[in-house]
Amino acid sequence: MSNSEILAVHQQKLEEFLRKLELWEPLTRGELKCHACGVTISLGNIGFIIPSGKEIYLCCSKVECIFKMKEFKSEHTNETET
Amino acid sequence: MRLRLKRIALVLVIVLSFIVSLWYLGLNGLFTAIPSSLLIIVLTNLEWVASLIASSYKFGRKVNFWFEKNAVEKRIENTIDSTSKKVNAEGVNVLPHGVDIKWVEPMERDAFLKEGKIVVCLESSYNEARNLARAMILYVAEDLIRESQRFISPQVTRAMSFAIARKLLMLDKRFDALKCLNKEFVEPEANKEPKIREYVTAMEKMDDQGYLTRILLREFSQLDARLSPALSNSDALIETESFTKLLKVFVEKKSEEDVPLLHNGRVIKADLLLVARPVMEFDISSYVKRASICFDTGVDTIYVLAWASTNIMLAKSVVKKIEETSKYAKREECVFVSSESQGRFESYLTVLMRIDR
Repeated sequence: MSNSEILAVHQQKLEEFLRKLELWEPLTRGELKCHACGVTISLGNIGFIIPSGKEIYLCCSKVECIFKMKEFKSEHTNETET
Repeated sequence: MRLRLKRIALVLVIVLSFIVSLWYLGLNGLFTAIPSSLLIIVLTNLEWVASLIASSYKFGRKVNFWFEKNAVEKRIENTIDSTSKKVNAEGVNVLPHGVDIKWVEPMERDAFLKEGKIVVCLESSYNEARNLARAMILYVAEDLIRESQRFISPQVTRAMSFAIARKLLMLDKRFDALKCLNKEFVEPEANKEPKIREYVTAMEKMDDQGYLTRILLREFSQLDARLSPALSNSDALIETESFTKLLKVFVEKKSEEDVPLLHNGRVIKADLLLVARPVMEFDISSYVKRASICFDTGVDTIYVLAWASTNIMLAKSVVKKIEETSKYAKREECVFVSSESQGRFESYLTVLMRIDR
């Protein structure tokens, strides 16, 4: 059975990770919204970090956002392929 | 039953190794019998040992971050790998991949954009149940009959992801993670869309009776092969719902109640041939005639089903007779234990595939 890779960032490294991506300040100011549902992203509800083109999107951990994120990811992959 | 036999065999082998060692070497035999018994236990319980190793990282998590990361990573990988194998063992490879958690180090914005891969945020190992619930739903949503997912109705896809994620956590007896999955993911979604709750409940009933992976997911898993290279198909979106509803009605039916068993759509062409009549009323020619009508009307797959030994015996003779017509050929045959409201039964299922001339 081959394995699929899940890239992950640990909660303890999240601040450092977001600082490097220049997202920490906007996050603490409450300026970042979930790309799928529009809810304000905080350290308590951050689910995914999605790179797309020149933008980085954040997504909360709600299940509907997981499915929307999956659709977004496959659309993004199709666009990249074409 | 098989597990109990395995355990009895294991105990016998260990006792025997002790007796032989003591007989040959006297008390010194203990020094060879103990390590050899441990080796036998490890080799016969690899999954349990892997789970033990995954848990062992927790002991060092306060000392070093390496242990903490491994405690999170190994628990998720171990649970997903062991349970997905059990689900695949039911006959259809519905979760074809395991999972590898790769920790990403903080990197500059440009490097992250260049890498172009989605990163999931995981919590500390103290929140193991939440991590497991989140990773499980993410994994199942991604991997469950991956190639065919684009042809399945979004509501059915969500419901089957929930049902399978719940099944995986139950197989590993992770009731804490299951509770978290229900509270954080399933309930909010089911409250918003009652149809999803209805489907999840029905799919769990299908699973109790052994038909979730063996019929529903098996049928859906073939959509990619049937419809590729199309990116989507509107008939398939509708028919994945109607076929789910047909199976829902079938698993919820009372005994002796007649319900529709044929789904002859444009994409899903399947018939459930239930052998459940009393022996006195059994007429093999009616089943063969029905298979013949299925063939003439373009049905691709016939699932022959039966419960309890007498019906299973009759079902096997039905399968044999249908095969003799050279219209359908046996693709799979399995006997398994299913749960019903009246108790647990021995069940039988054979998949007959249309022979194209």
